[in-house]
Amino acid sequence: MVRLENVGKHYGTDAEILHDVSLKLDPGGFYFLTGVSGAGKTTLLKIIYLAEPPSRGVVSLFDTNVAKTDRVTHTALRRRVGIVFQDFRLVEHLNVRDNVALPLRIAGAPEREIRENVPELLSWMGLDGKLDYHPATLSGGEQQRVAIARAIVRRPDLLIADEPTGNVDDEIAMLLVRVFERINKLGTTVLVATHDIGFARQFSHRRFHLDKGALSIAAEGAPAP
Amino acid sequence: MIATLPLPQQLRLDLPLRQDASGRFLPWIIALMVYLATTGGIALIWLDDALGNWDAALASSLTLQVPAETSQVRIEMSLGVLRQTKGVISARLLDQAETGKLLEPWLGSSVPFDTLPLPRLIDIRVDPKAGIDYATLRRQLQSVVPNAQLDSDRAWLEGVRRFALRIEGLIAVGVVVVTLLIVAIVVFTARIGLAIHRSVIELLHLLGAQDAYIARQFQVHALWLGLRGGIIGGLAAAVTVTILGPAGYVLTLPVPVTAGGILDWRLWLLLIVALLAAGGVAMATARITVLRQLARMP
Repeated sequence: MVRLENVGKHYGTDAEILHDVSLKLDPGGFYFLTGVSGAGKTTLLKIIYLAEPPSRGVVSLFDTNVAKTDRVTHTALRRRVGIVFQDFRLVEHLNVRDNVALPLRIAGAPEREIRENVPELLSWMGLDGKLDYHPATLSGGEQQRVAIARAIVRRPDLLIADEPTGNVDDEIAMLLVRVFERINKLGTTVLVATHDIGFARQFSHRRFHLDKGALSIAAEGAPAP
Repeated sequence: MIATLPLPQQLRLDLPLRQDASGRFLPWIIALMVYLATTGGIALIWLDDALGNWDAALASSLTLQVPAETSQVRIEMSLGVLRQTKGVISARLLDQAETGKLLEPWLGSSVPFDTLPLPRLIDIRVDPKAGIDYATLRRQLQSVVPNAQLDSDRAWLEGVRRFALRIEGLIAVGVVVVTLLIVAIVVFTARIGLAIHRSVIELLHLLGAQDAYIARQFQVHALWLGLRGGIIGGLAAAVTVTILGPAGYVLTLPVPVTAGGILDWRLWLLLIVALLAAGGVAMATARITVLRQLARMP
């Protein structure tokens, strides 16, 4: 699914943010990526979802070495990835319905399919009656659910969530992970980045830990309650 | 107002391009350009019509003027030269009475023309398509009658034609410059749009949008702005023609010069072409600019 070998990343002449990062995500797996703020989690995620090229090393996404492919192939690979951004990155001038429909429209899905699937998904996410709202009028939690809905609307093979639990209380954070687990059960590989190592330990999922740009495989956490 | 009409909802834009300031000023700039190009084009048509009228009126008839003291033998020789020239249909010597009639508007009818040393005139009918070499003919005639004058109107027309060609060239250059200005403005606007909406464009990329998908947003927006500008500029040009057209004349010349009005189908064809060109140039420019810029993104 995802394979990184000795990946390093630096910007300009700055020191490396990531050093010799190697990891492998198997299809259908559920993974946490932990590390304190500034450890390089977001940079690593950006490399995986092809927003940034690595400075060195090999990145393979869906068995494709991305360094040896062109922009068109990158686009095709990106369509198989759903991303929940830390800052949600909702499009302000689009309403909830159109924000969630965005990946479908980009993929050229027929409008009939969009009209059927988007309200259904938003209802599942508890956003009934919010379809015509604009992001600025929603609470932070609602915006986050819209961002998750947008990330999963196309049933991605890989779902990446960057600090989805960062600004919510423990109860909501737990619910969000349960949502990701349900998506995972449908066959989507899930990678959740969080700075809250204690929170990630509450689950039995495999954990990678980033410390000053170096990646390690963490010990198994406690089984989920 | 046409300039502030919103883009039809069917042409959905993921990028908030409609909120950009370009949506307010670009149609007016394009309108001005289209107005200049269209009125220039109309001037071109009027000028061409005028030249055509003058040419048609003057191309089939010539006049040879020989001094009064020229002998009948030399006049007959001149007639012979003319009749042997390929393209000359007829050459007829006007008698004194006919010559006097031509001069009546200036000299009055009471003047005894037969006592005046009037030049003799030869009315010549020619085939306009024959391509007569007038310079050679003039030399031949002057070898027979040294002070003979052939058709000064044609020489005048040739001068006007050369002048008109220069004017036409200037107008054509103006239309090209106007087109280039539209291209430059749209390139500038598209680049600003790319810079303003960079974060949304990056998002669309991460969601799997191809460059063409993003470029389509800009080109649809530019097409709409271009068409709005084209409509405004075209309507303004039509109003100008409506005001100037019925004037019925442009210059006082030997042959009447009329300017086509609002009912001239070529005006409407020109307006449609200008409208489509404004939209088309804006759309194509935006697409090319955006695709080139996007190709530089990771």
